[in-house]
Amino acid sequence: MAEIAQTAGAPVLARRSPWGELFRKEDWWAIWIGLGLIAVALALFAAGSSIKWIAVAPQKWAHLSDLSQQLKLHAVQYSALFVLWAVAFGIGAAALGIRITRFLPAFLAVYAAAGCIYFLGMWDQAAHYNLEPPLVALGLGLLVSNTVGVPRWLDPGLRVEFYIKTGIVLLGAGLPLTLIAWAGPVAIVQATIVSLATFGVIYAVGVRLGLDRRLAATLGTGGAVCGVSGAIAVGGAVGAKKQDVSVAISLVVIWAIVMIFVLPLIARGLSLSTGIAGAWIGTSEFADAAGLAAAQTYGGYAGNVPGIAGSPEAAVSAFTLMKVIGRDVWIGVWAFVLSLIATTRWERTGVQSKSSAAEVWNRFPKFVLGFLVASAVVTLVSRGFDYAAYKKEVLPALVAPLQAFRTWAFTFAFLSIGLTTRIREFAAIGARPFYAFTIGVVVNVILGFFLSTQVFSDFWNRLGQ
Amino acid sequence: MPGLSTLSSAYAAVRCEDGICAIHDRYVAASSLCSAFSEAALA
Repeated sequence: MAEIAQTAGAPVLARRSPWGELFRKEDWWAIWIGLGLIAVALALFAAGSSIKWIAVAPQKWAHLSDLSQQLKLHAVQYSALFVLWAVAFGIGAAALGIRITRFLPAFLAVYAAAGCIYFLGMWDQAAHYNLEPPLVALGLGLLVSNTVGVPRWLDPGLRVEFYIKTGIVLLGAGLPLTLIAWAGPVAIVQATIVSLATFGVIYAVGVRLGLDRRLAATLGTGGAVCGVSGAIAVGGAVGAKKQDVSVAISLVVIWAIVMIFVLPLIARGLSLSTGIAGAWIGTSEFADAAGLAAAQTYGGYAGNVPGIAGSPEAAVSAFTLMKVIGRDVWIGVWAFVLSLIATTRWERTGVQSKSSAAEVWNRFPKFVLGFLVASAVVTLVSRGFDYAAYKKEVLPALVAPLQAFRTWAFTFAFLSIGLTTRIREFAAIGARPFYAFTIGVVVNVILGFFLSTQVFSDFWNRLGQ
Repeated sequence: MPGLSTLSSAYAAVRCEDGICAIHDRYVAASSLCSAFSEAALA
């Protein structure tokens, strides 16, 4: 992170060209990579072919001999897939300032480890031993990073948000735009109720406990809107103390990781359908990557754990609608409103923040645009097919390979979460921020559960069917 | 910044051009103004 000094009466940094952002920000690179893959897949599909050869993914296996046969049979495809990902993410990483010679060896290790985890998840006994790939990736990563440690050369390849945003753009190809239009408003209503309640509780408790208002607002947005992204967006908008932003980040990450394990466990115990569980996780998880790990884990239970209804995809779809459409896209509005309050109502600091409606767009999570474009394009292409033809032609040749790409991208992200979570590097939190945030977590989880399982349960169940 | 690398949000669009004010030890938006720096610079 750059240290910046400021001059009186002038903005800190000269405004850069808005077009430059298209190649300087991770969000845009996730769009270029995701939509680029979709464009190639569409071109091949239109020519009567398919991208599925390179979108290789492990299949179910029972014995090590099956596994070794799969690897032998598809070795060239796995190598080609690595080259494809390495080129795509390598170009993006280079544009973001990471030297390609440092990125490639690190990404090779990430790809190999993600492949092992993906294969392990396809073992026919994996569900029996709770070896769901997201949990294995996360658990393994946490164990390594907090015991023996992660070698520094791996750091350039551990890009949680880059991978997860690319995966979300690809996810758009599997979600019809009509479904987004149908479910989006409900997701927005549910998410808004929970976001406002969670923010209100964290902020009110924080101020009551004597926390600085800027810290309370940063904590509140981290818990209510979109995790670390929410905390840093509002922290910057209101001019919070550097240490306070660190405290908010630490709390968000710790609780996000706890929730990855806890939410699917409770949902499984209550035999919630995949649609309902996905909506609950989308309402009550803090970070996109962490929530997708929990939702994908739960989706994996469908068909493997008795009593869990709904399709595997429904958990991830409901989560994405709730989290991305219901919560993430509003971060700019939160930042703008809170910066307005900070500049007009709160005590002054040495730094004078400026409040501008442009914040709403400037802080908008742009990768959401890629998600919507992907959905619109594939919906348009699929329009000429009836359901039977869609299942026979479009699904295997176009949508399924894109889903395989998405699963790879998510697995890279899940592994990176664990490997970058070094608890000893977290800021000392302090009791008062901890209590304020934790009370908000409790309210968030209970309210999200109530809305998902009682108020909107029919709706989320239908999504799963 | 401790913990920020965990979910790599520092590279996200939501961060804009925010950075750290070395004078006030605050995390601030690029459009923020700071009179203290001016006084120090003129002194």
